[in-house]
Amino acid sequence: MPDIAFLALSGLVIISAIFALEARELIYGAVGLAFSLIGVAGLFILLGAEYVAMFQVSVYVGAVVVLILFTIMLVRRESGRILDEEEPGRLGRAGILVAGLVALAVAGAVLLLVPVSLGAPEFPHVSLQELGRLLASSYAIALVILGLLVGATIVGGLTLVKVEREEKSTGATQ
Amino acid sequence: MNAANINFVAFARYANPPMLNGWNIVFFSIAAAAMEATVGLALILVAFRLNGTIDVRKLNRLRG
Repeated sequence: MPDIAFLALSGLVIISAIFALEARELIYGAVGLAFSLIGVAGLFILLGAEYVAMFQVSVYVGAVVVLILFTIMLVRRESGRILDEEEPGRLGRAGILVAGLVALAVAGAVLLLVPVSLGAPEFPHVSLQELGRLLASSYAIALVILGLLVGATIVGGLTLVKVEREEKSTGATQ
Repeated sequence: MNAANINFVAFARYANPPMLNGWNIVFFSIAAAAMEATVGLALILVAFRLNGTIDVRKLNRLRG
């Protein structure tokens, strides 16, 4: 049963990732990306990491994909035009074919070489408290650095977008 | 990046004994990826404001 779920989820991830890359409209690409990320969250749940899956859904699907959608709408509403993409030529198709063949070869080699009997040790149920304790003790410095990085990113993004708007408004008033 | 995250969680799961370090690394990785996406989208917005398009074939201001 987990094998079927694993196969279905990995199929969902791969197919929606290809769709996200090949979609003709940007919005459909973003939706495909969202499905791919949800599939990855399902893989996390299969691996017994529910909190990682929660984090994945809330950050990636809840924040990043929504941000991408907002940017697409903002950009497209002002331009009023869909980006027309060129048909992938023969080189692109050959690249996709080669990538698929390489992936098949790697998967076959792994299946042949590795004995499939993955004797999974019983995974103890992890509480959020334990995770948080580990995060606050062993990874405290990394957590602080991550917080600084978040702050720097927010300030940097705001200045990137804000300076331009100020120049535009002063240019309009002058 | 998602593949790397899956690898982290899977190796943490199948390690003997199972450990939680992979989970925490994945937390950090997801947060860093979200920030990268934020900065990238801000750059796209600035490029659109400066040029009026986000078509890469028309963003050729730097061409000599």
